[in-house]
Amino acid sequence: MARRSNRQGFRDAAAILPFAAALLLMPPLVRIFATPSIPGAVPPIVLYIFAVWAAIILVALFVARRVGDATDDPEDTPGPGGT
Amino acid sequence: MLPVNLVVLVCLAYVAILFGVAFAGDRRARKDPTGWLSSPLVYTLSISIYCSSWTFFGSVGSAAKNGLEFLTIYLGPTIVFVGWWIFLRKLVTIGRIHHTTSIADFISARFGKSPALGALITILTLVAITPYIALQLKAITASFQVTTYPAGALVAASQRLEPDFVVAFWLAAGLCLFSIMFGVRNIDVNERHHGVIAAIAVEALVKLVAFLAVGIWVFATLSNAPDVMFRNAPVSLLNPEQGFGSRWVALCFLAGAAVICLPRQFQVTVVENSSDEQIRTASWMFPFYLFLMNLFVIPIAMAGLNYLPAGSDPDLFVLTLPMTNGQETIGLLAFIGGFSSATSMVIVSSIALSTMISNHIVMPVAMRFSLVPTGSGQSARNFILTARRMSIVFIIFLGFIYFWVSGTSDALASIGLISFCGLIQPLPSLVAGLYWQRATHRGALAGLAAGFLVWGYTLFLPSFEGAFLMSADVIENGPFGLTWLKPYALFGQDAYDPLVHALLWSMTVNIVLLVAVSLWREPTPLTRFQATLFIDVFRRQTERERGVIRRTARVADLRQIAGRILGPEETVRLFYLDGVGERAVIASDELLSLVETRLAAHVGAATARTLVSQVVTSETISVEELKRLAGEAEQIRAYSAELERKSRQVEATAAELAAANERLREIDVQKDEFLSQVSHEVRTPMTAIRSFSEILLTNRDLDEARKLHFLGIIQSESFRLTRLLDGILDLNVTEPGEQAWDMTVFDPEVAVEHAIATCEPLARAAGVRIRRGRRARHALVLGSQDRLAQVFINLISNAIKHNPNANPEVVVSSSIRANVTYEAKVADNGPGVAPMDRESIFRKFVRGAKAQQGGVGLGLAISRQIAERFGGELCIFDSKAGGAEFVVRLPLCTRDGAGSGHSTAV
Repeated sequence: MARRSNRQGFRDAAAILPFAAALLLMPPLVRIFATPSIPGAVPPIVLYIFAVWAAIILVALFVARRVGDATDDPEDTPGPGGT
Repeated sequence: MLPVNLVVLVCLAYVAILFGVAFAGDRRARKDPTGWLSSPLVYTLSISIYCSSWTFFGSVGSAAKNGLEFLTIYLGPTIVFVGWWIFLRKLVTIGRIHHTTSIADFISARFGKSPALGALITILTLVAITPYIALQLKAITASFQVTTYPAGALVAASQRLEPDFVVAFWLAAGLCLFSIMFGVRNIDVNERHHGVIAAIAVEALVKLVAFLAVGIWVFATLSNAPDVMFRNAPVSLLNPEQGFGSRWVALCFLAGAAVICLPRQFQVTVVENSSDEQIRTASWMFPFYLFLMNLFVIPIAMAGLNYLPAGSDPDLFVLTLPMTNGQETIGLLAFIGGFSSATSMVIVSSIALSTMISNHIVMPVAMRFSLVPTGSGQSARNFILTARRMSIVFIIFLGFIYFWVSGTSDALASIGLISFCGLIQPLPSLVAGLYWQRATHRGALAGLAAGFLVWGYTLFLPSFEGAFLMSADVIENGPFGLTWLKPYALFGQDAYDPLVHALLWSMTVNIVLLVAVSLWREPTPLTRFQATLFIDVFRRQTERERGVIRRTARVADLRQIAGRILGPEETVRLFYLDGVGERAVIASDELLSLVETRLAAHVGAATARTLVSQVVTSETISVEELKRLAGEAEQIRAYSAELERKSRQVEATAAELAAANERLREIDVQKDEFLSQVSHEVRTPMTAIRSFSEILLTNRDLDEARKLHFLGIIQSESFRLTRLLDGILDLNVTEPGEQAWDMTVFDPEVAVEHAIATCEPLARAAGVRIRRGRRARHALVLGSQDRLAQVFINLISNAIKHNPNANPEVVVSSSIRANVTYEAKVADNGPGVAPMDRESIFRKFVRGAKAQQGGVGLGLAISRQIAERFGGELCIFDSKAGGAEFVVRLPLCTRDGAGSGHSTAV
């Protein structure tokens, strides 16, 4: 039972991930970092976007590995083709 | 510069390697379809054709001009892929199960296998993708010219080069050759192309390595501290506040939609997919690939701005930076990277489109006018293959002509995004098809056509700047002076960038029409059926679902159709190995469905249906059945959780019921036994009484002694009968729910003493010694004292009667357990009771194995019932002396009658 609810947790995470990613990469959130850059430094917006991007990929990797156990669920077994 | 011959030679060598890979891949896939070719890695690499030359050269150019905007093209797909669980998984699963051949096939199959829808999408795609292919040809041609420019790359990059159409022509020809050889070479014309995928995967690696090589070299040698590096950076990068408005969001959406809808992306993501595992891995690996591809874009762009003279084409920085710095090897590598990204895009696009053209335009038209050859087994297949080959040549040369006509203008530069905007018009139909049961093919047709027209009017035609169909005056002032129809500012909305403007209007019109028209008319039965299959793809199919469509066709006709498209080998497998086709004359619904599915994998669902329909003599789709199915699907979803819970309850109840039933049956048997026993037991004394009374009545001259003897027998039999009836009465008295006892609180020891005293004479007569063991004191129980005494009398007399021991002895002892239970024991040193008989001796009319006559076999049954009525129990163990030990346990109570501890008063 614990395993089952755990798996459900990862499915929920998999479903939430794209929305979280969109939220982080879209205005207004992204505008917080879109400040004029200080001379002599890498513009903060560049660091922010690449860091968020890398974080999303890492989370996706983690979720994809965990959610994989779910594929042997009977609910997920697609039936044979129709006409 | 690099010598032309060298560059050409390298290109040819590279293409030769690709040929080798594709050839090996094809052979390998034929031998082992589940080998490394279907590994998630190869799958992910093949999806990476998303990065065309537009990425390879264009990203740097865009970064140099517009700052971070280029990232949207990769962030959109990242969001779509990490969200695979919601959308892509479903899309890919349906595509795999239904053997989808293209996006046009997918949408047409979902909307009732509509041929019109397939044809419309094919034409729209063709229009929108031609400039995109032209862009790729331009990129390779330009990079080739720069690499080989006699005066050096620097000069070439800083001036306007006339495109060399001879190079472009040979390039186009080469691409045709490759696409035809591997995309349409297969005798097997089904939807997957293993050889091409293998080659594409290699190309994906090559372009990544090439770009990383340039990036690392630039980073290591040309990058300085940030203050110098960003010296010439565009304003949009240094002061990016303006860059994150509607255009940022629109571009992310556009790119996210494009990674699903572009024909080449649909081909590699959905059509070539063979397992869930692939999409699961690609969900993070593809975003990772994009991440790597973009890691060095900004350093390269900044270095280009810093080190190359002003006016150099930023789109070619990747190439010119190493070339001007004498790094010709890296330059050549960069050229190969760009070459491979462009060629892979063109090859897969043209293969995907050629499939669409042959399945949705050529085949329907050919069948309509009976142009499909019906002769020998191979001719129909050859017809399809030829159609596809011609389509490839047509598509690539359409791109070439477009390049030729518009190559000298700047119109091509921004065509990538314009093209995207047209190509994503099928998105609303696609999404509605996956999630909305009610969406109809009319709605999809209307939405698609309108969205496409709006795109053409507001974006595509104005992009020619008056050179094609739409005059510059119309672009500036609107048609016929109607300013509210200005292409870049419909209804006066001029606040937006043209791309955002067109995207907004085309998508709005598309979605509104799709929804409105879908709601206006009922879906056709077939649309409804297909909707159920697509939307509920993760649900198990039921038998009923397959029975919705009933068709009649002769097996021979069906076999002929299948043979023409599938080829003899697969036809034989389909019809004979299953044993279905051998005897039957009329094909079963299963066989018809199977054949149609296989045909759909080759020629698309709509054409397959038309083909099968040619030999079907009658077809009925049960609308009622369908409606119920759709309703059921909804209900099943809603109630499945509840059902699961209930089924567990039902299981538990069923188990209880089964136990109760078993118990009832036992009781019933016992009742029958009881009745027959009772009759038997009553009958014996009655017979004796009757016969002796008859003797006394008939023989009146009997002597006194014999009369007395007979009367004695009659009397003793009557006593026996009375005892028996008393016993039966006792049984009834102790049954629950029968008449109440006089409940009193008393010391159970009194009952024990009474019982021992009563049994003393019997014991003395049998020579049995009754010994008193340790006794409890001050115990109190609630119930009937006489009844309890009856229990002990029964136990003690049993112990006396059934004891053949030479030195018989009965021990009576009692104690108080844990302050809540009174426990009395009656033990003997007789033979004991075998374990298997221990429960049965408590049943009615069961006597001990060696019982003497006399007992009626009710004593223990009554005793146990009395003990239970007290709220206690009566059970049997082995005694220490070797015989049986009966134990009575009763709950204690206080003087005022309340139960103590857990026990309750009865």
